[in-house]
Amino acid sequence: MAKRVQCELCPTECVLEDYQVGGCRTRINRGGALYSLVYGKPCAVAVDPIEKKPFFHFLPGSRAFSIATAGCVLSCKFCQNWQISQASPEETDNRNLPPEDVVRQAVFYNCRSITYTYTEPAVFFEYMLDTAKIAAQLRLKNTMHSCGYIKETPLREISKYLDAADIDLKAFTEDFYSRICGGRLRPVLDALVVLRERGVWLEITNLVIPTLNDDIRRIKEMCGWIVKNLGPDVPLHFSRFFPNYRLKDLPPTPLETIRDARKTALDAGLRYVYTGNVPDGAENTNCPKCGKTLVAREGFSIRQNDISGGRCRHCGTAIAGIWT
Amino acid sequence: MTTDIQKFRILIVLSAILCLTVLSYNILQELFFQDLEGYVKRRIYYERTLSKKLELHKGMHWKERD
Repeated sequence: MAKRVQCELCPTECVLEDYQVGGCRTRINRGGALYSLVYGKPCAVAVDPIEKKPFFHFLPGSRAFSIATAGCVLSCKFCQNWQISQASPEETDNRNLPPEDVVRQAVFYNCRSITYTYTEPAVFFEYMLDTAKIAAQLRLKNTMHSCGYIKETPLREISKYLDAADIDLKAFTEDFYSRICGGRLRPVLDALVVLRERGVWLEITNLVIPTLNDDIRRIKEMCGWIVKNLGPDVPLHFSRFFPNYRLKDLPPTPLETIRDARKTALDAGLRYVYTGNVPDGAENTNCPKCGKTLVAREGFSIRQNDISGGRCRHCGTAIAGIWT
Repeated sequence: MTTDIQKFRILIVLSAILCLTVLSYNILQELFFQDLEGYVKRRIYYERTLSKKLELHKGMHWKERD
């Protein structure tokens, strides 16, 4: 039998026997070498508004060509894309879309960026990397929506081509990550710091789940950590949970909880805090100095944009983000 | 007619052969046939399903293990 191999893409570091597939379901040991099973084979391809990723401080109003393959490094019980993230690539309906065709289609559909999203882009690392290289040559931006569960070396490699990343910071306890996601918190925090250091534009998403990660003290700790380690200008998106997948017995997040979370984040010093999946939620970008609404959003549409040259049009304060 | 001593010798020899056979099997299994059943299952799944639906592409960020 061939030698065993150890994957070094995510902190799980699966050790695989010959013909064994990794925990992410997308990598296999074949004859003592590791191979990807999903290269060029996305099961989800779409053109989305960039606000849907969600990116609120990155090329507002632009389109993102979004792709994903099956598989994931975690097994979150609340996953909203579980039909593909928790599936194996031999079970999904995949397209044949090599990297150059991804870029070609992104240009055809007038997208300003390519987003690696829906599942976990780390599991299609090689595909993402090759696509990002071609996209960068054509001045297309590269963004990803990730759980951040990726080791430092591959993360540093992909961040050479990444312009922005939205990271799911799912909770601020190791217990949550272990029991609910099958992972660990520490590698995600490390990944956030690396991305920040590499100059990748960062936004964070937190899905607030009743009884599991809605403790306001933990939210306060999380926000304090973000301010201290990443800075007060990192946009934070609180998203409302709805029963799904393996958490169908929990109620939707009360609106009051989402509002309290946002207030806690603002009190902690974060300047840009948004709420998602909430009717009449806080989706506008306001100037942190004069308080005027700069970017007015309705759903994923931009109704007003008063940011000029990266500054508030009223008082001239610099507004963190990549606006053009 | 075999005597009792001859019968006893036959028994000893057969027992020794049995013990050696069992020991050899255990040693060989440990050295060469670890998880043979698992390997066969994985190989069958790969040949019947994975190789027909998917393609292999060289992976990055991994290392060999003993």
